[in-house]
Amino acid sequence: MTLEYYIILAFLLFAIGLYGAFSRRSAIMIFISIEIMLNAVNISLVAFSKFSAIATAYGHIFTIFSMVVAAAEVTIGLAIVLAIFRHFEDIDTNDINLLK
Amino acid sequence: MTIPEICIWLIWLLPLAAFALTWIIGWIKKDSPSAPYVIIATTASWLLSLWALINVFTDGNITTSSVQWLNIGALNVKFALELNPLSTVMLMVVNTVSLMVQIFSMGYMHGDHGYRRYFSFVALFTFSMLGLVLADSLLMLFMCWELVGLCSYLLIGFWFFKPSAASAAKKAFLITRIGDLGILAALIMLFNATGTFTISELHGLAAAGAIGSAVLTWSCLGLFLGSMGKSAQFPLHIWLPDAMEGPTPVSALIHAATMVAAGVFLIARMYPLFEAAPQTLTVVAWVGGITAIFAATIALVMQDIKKVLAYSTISQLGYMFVGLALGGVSVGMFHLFTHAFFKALLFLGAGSISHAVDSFDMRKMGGLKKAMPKTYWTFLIGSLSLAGIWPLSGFFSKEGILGSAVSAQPVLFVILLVTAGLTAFYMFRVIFKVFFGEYKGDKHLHESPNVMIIPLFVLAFLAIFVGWINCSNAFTVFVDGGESQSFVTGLVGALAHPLAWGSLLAAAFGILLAFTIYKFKKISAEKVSAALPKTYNLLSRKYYMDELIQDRINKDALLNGLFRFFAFFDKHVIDGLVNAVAKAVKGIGGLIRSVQNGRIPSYGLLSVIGLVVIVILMMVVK
Amino acid sequence: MGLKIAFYILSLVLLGSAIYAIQAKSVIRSAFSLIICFLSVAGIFITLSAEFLAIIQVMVYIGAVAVLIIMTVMMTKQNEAGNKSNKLKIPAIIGALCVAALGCYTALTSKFSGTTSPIGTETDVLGVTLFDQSGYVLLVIIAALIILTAIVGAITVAREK
Repeated sequence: MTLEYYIILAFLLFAIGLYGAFSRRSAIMIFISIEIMLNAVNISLVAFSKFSAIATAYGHIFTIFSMVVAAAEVTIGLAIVLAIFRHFEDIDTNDINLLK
Repeated sequence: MTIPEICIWLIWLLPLAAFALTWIIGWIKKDSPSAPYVIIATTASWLLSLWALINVFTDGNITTSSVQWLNIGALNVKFALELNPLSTVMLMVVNTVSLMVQIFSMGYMHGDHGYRRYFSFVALFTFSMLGLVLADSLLMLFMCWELVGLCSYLLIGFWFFKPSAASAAKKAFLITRIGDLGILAALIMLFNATGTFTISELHGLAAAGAIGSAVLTWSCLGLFLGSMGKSAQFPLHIWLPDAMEGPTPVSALIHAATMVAAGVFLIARMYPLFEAAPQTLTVVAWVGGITAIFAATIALVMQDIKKVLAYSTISQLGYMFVGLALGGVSVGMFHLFTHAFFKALLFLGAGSISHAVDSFDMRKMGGLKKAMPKTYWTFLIGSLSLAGIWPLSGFFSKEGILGSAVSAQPVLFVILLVTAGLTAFYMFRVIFKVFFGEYKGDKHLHESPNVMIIPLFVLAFLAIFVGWINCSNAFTVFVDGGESQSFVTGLVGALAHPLAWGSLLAAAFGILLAFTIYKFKKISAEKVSAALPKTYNLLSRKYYMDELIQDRINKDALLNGLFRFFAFFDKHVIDGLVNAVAKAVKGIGGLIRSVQNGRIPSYGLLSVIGLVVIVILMMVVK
Repeated sequence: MGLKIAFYILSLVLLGSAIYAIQAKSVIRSAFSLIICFLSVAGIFITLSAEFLAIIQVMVYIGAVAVLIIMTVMMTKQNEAGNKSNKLKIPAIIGALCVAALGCYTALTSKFSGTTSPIGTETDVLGVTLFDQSGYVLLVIIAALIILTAIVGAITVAREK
């Protein structure tokens, strides 16, 4: 087992998440895709930590903080989704184009 | 800078200061007087000019140290003011006439709501004209040349709310522009050939034969084209009669005495160049001669007193060109010198008349002699001087021109002699129609106030006596060099010459004819014009020059021909190009606009594409 | 060897569940597929001898994130009409493939140092590093504050007015 396997796995997972994030219409589906992408990143961080020359835990610490931020992000994001749903009666990103 | 130099600069800059001051004071206080500043500045400038004249007379030319004006690569343009006999004479003419006109204007323009604007423009004109006269560089001369053109435009269109004045101003500006193109071309050619704009250097190079003859000929013709435009020579004369729409003192200053004479001055200033290309002088002589008789015949039938004077001015300018070309600088310049005073006098007289009768149409005048004796006498003096009656100033200057023409170009001499007769005739026609007979208008006649009469007296005095300056050949010696003679020989001895009798006879014939027709009514003017309807029409329609230019050149050649082509070209080629560019931009914009759809996924995807591109680029570049 | 087999199996489950999660027609199915996905990520962490992180992964992602998502799915009405994906499906596939290809290419061509002898990180090392005097105590507190803020913010945003 070498680092390359984990990196490739992480990239594949990231690509799947990317595709989902940009192709789905539902806001919740986009969230799911983003979580998949975050997990891909976490895998690569832990893998780098494991296969680094010196025994450190920096990769793990990165991962912990990334999880914290992900949790916070999901909390806020889903709250926004709820607010949008109340406002538009819909969470289809095709119909929400206030940026235009 | 030495004190004399400062004085020379002051001659030029004082009127400019007056121009600025009138506006500044006008802004500070609305109803403050503006004329005094201008008059004081012009008086100071006049005094300094007198000092300059004396200085040049005793010590010769003065050139001030130059001021760097432009420095681009090899092009290094410096300006300096040069005092020479020619420019000092012009300084006196410009300042004297300008001063008289300003004093006259205080009365004439009194109560006009553009009073301040008027005086500031006159000051600006004086400044520009003095700059033209003093310039030592052809470029500076050209700039001042354009400035006087601008002032002329502003003052012709002074009453711009009158459509005729506005269009006359436009016409003057555009027609003189044709001539200015000639000067510009000449400037470029000369600079290309010699690398200098300084007039004295150009003189030296031309005299040494260092300028190629083709360049010299064409640039002289270009300069003369400019002179034709500014001095209203055939066929570019059509703007000057229309320019009479301006206030009468302006006509006296700009369109009789100074600016229109600038063309003559230009030729005189560049005379060594013309001498080196003698065939151009022949062109100058013939254009001048043709213009002289051409304009004089039109003046015979004009009913507007200012139009008569305008055509007379054109005719006299033609005289000056003949004098320049055939007799040399002093002959032409002397006529300019005397003409400036008596023509300014005549114009101011016309202004004084219109002040009383509120019109320029001679059919509404008559019998003004009783009501306006001072105006009558001064006008008579001006007319006699213009007609060339001994011993008034016009006699001497005209005599010089005729004398130089008789041997060089006999045909021109005959033309000029006839013109002299015609001149006498139309001037006395004016006098009889205006001052004798019964008044046909309904205005209350009154003599003009003293502020207008005094300039008339001063100019009348000058119109009588300035000619005597050259009796002892002083003017010729000063400008051209040569032998002086005793004063009495010049004054009385001129009469012993057969030539003098010829011109006097021609003038006397013209005056007598005017007497018979308009005073004694032996011959009816109406019958004459009825007997020769075609001739009369031809003259009163000014040889159809306006129609020719308006219809044939403007409408047929330009509007229907060239401009239509331009319109087509503009519409289909230039607009087509522009439209194609616009359409391309719109198309690309439409493509890119679809990206800005406000949907997060597309923005995110674009950033991913950007990331991929950047990464690939980094890999490739590495 | 066992590790390798475990890695392959976990990878297959992970990728498969992830693809199902983003492809499924119904959102609730994706959400449950996401739980499997998270679980297999935890497994991957174990193969990397990061047991603590695996536990945290289960607690945070499955216990909190997935639950939140399921809750939200229940609280919102899914508009099932029409195509579930937007117009960007093909560009998104191309973009994702590009990223994957680039990633794999870099992973295979880069030379990583120390890849030959994997060194494990014990949980106690992690704990010491995290809570050491020269460690990340302050950051842990800030992270706690972030979560607190997020909770308050979420309540404020989602609260019915």
